[in-house]
Amino acid sequence: MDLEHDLSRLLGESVDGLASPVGAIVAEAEAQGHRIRRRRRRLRIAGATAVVVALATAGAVVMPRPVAGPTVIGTPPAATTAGTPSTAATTATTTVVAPSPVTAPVTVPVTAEAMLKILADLLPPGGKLSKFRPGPFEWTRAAATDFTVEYDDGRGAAHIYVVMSPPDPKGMSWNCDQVDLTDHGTRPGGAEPTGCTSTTDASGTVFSAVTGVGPEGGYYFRKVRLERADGTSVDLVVGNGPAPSPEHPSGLADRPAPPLTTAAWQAVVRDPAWRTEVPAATAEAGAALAATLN
Amino acid sequence: MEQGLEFEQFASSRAHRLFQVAYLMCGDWHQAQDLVQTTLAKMFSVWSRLRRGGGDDGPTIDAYARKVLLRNYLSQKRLRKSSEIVTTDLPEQASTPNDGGELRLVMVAALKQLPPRSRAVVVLRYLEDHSIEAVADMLGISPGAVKSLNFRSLAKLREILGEDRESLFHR
Repeated sequence: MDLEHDLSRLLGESVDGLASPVGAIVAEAEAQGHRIRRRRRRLRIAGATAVVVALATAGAVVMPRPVAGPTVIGTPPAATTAGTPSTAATTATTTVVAPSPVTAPVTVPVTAEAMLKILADLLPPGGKLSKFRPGPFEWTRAAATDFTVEYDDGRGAAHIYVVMSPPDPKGMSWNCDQVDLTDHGTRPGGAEPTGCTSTTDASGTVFSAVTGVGPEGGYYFRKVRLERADGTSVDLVVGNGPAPSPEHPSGLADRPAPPLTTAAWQAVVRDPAWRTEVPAATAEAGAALAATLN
Repeated sequence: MEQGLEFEQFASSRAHRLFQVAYLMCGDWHQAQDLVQTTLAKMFSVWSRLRRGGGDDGPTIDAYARKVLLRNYLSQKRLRKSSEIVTTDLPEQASTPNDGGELRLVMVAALKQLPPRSRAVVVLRYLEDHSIEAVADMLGISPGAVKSLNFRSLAKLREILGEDRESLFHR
């Protein structure tokens, strides 16, 4: 008789009485499976978060800082002019005020909490801040100070990321050419088109605005950036929903567009309050505010 | 929760068979347990996608389970190649098999002398009764290569089992 004809029977009989730990296998498989899922989810969140902050952290790495007069580069994002908060530092004053004997306020290095206070003071009244998280994060550049917070203007929570970077000794600058505007996902109805502009004023300050792209699910962001002539930069990134989470690793697009307008956010980052040294009182008030938002 | 229950039902009903396949391929009870656990864990992590892709088509998910098991087994074999000891002699008791346990020892010892890929072919062809084409698909090789491995494996098994064949066949 040939082996081939009996091999099925022999192999079958050889494992007939073989005890198998089915219960232990299933329980351990589920536990391992949960770990694999959690690891994969963490990677997805990190990826989505990296997309959101990519433009902000790409600053000051590639292009020489432009020093020419006003220029416009790239395609215009969906910038509008409505809802601009106060404090745009563009109005010339003619009033001459006599020097006062008041001493200069004590300053301290800027902190994430102080930046939160600056942002809170510049936002229009009526909004609500929550879920403050101070940096540094895994993507934070050395010497930069950053934080994230959620802002609800009454139409849904939106993730905000703000980073302030001191002058870069290498003298490099951010540029629209560095931005990849290839959308990787579907945009929600009413979403703004992608685009990037960059202008430089007479003082050498570069203003940039990006309406970005996002992963699947319609989550995207708007970014504004200010880079002063001395190299100090402020980047503000705001999404059209809350921050990516384990439940929504690619971000949750709970509104068609991020809150406010590009012009409004540009006015926020233009404010002279954004400094690497801030009044001690601002830092203290920021710490107190942060304590209520953690 | 429903998804968890569904997976548990699937895993509970298939684990024993997968364990048998894994045991004959690796010849070690604990390694077989690890293999099946890892296989099912990987399936658990993509369970909703598997259900969407395969609907209620059980055989599709079963074939996927075997594919994952095979890949785990072959990659483990590559990692453990240097530490594996291949015996040239069968255990003494293997010459007079008289119960399932002894037959198991004979078959495992014989299979252990085949290269890992050949073992997989024999187990999938003769324990699981898969066609040449199905085995080729699971192993990611051509049907011709499976036929060749199968032919060489049978020749080797005939040689290994030698005189025991008659007693094995007429149990």
